Amino acid sequence: MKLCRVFSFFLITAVLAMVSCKERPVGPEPETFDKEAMLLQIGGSVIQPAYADWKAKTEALRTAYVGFDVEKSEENFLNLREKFLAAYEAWQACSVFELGPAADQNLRLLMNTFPTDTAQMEANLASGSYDLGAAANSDARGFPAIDYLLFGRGNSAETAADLSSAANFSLRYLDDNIQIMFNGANVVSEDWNDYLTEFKTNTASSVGSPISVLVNEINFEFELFKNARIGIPLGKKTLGVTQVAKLEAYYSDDSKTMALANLSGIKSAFTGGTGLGLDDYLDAIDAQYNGQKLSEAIIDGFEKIETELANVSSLRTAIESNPSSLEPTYHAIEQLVVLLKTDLPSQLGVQITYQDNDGD
Amino acid sequence: MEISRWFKQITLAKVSIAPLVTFRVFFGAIMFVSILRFWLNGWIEIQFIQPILHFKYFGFAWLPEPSAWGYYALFALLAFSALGIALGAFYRWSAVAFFLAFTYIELIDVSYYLNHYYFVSLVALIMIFLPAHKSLSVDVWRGKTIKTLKVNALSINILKFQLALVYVFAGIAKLNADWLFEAMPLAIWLPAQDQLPFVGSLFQYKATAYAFSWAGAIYDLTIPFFLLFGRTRWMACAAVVVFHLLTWSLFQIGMFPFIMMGATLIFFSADFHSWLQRPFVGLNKTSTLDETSALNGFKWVHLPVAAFMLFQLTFPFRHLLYEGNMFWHEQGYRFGWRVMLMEKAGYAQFKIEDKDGRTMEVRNADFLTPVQEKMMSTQPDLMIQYAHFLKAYYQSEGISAEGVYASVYVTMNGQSSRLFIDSKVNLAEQIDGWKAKPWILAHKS
Repeated sequence: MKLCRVFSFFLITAVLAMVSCKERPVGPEPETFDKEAMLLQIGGSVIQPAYADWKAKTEALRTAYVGFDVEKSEENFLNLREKFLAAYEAWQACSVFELGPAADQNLRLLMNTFPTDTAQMEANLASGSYDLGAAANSDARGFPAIDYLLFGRGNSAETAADLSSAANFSLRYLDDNIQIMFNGANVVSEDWNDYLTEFKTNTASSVGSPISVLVNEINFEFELFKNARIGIPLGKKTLGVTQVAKLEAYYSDDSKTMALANLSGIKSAFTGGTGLGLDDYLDAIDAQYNGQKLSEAIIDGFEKIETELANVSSLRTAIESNPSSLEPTYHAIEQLVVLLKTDLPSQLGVQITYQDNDGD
Repeated sequence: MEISRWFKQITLAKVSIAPLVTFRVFFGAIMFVSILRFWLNGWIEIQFIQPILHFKYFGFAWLPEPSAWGYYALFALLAFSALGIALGAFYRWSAVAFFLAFTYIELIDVSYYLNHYYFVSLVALIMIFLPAHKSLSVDVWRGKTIKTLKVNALSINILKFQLALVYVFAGIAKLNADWLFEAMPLAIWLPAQDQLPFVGSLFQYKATAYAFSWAGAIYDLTIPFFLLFGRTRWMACAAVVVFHLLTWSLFQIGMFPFIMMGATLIFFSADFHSWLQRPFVGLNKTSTLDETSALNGFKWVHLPVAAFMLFQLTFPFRHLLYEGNMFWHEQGYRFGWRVMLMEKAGYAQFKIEDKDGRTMEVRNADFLTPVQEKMMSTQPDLMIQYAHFLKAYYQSEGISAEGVYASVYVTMNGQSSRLFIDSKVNLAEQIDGWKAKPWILAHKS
């Protein structure tokens, strides 16, 4: 019985520790943060509108294609280019959300694997027999393929003529790629209508939960931004030897617009647009970074990159003629990646790992 | 005289074999399930076959890596030997095979280090030498060994020691300022789980994190003693179940809670185990009973057992030989039963410098799996290994890689991320060893 009492004593001590701690000043009492409302905001007011916009722009692209097919005028060709760039820019806001329906479709790989393999594309265009769904064509399809098709094979008159010739497969290649996008945009938009409920109600932070996947995808996309969109073309992986042709939207020379739209998409994934987002979640748990709110430090980081990037007229021109002018941009990116990869997941109790595993 | 009698009592006294038999069956069975689970999760492929490089344990870099088929063969061997242990079939061979195969696989890649894998290796090693198959076993049924009802108390007490050691050291590890006075990392982990039923709503309060931290420390430090005594055992056992079910629901720790819960049965009385085994007694009807075999050849066992225990009692404290915050620099961290003790995340950007001073960045995902990258980003010894790998790799690619530098940022227990190592140190020139690594930047909180 004596030992029983000893055990009870420890239990009581534990309870007392809890009670006494309650009386101690242990920071402000947390206001209940509504994670479901946050996920509803991100899913319903950021992700779904992003897909809706992309879908609308893809439909406009298809209409422009049909218009050009009917009447192969210069005006219709320029309209086609314009609608393509608009759809590409709209895609940038969706790219970060490779989860749920988009992950099911492998959407990022399907839509935007760059740089495009021009040799593979030329082979496809010459033979006219290709399967765009095949792995061999993963870097010969989607936006980068159309970018090459519409901007990379001569000036606008030459390209329009190429597309107009019945002897060529170019027009069909364009049509097939637009069809892939049209299907992707429709399927994912449709699937999100059902997925939203599942997305918002699972408020856990464990591996595979929406919060965890969202934080991981923000990181994944931002790494792509750092490496694929800026670092690799700038020569960061090749001893400083620039690789300008590896830029996203290289042929249309619209890389800066795409990069800014992509960054804005990642930022919205973090802020939840105008409503509740991960920034508010961080504030609710009082996450700090060197005496500042962590949420503010991260938003400042995004804005710093936007400001630096705005100073550049064209990424292609900058890399070709003055690569060092991009160093301030790259430095700002390096600063933000640390916060996104360490402080953000750590404060939220989320693991940066795309794999399931045991811990202890 | 008292001490020597007590010592004889806990080592040489003849006690019922029943607890040992239950432990054998449980251990073999849960290992079998664990191996199957690992296999079916596809982790053999993901953790062992796919990675481009494996991070070596210090001193075990010489171990050859099996081929893909070799891994599957090893895991098949593990599954069969675990079954062999459970059934008491070819027991010694099963136990030896299990211990060797399990330990070998664990030694392939240090980035998968888990305290509970280490625990399994140690228990498997002990099991080799225990007469756990001398009752209710296939070996007795086949007549390969003679049924025994009594074993030396040491056979059971060594397992109790091993289990108690895990708890007490896990408790000692919790006696640090962050855990006790900041409730870290639970103050981060609990609010992230506030969606859980019943307890979840409490997790938003920091007081809950404090209560859990203190209760966890007290639990770890005292539970073995409450388990040892009959009067408190049932209550302690309830605490074990509650504690491990809670950790199981809170954290991603795989089979560990179940291994610990089942292992706790070793503390229960022989009567309890006999009662548990009553339905199966008929399986090993035999007229010959061996009362002495377990005692034979027992004289010289004390020395290695004492060495084994002494090693385990001292090795976790080696971190005291290093200056600074062990949780930060992680020198002397492993093999110390530091379980779920810190929230740490790192980001490591490696840079290669060629002989002309030109630099290029490394994309870790090109070489490392996400788990490997996560572990490497906070563990200095892995950074050295990675740097050596990168140097060799880029040289084989025709780049005169002379320097490998890393800018590493780490956040620990909710503190702002900060530079972790001296980014001007050529990591390719560093050699891992027991000596302190002066290029790890001091942790100031």
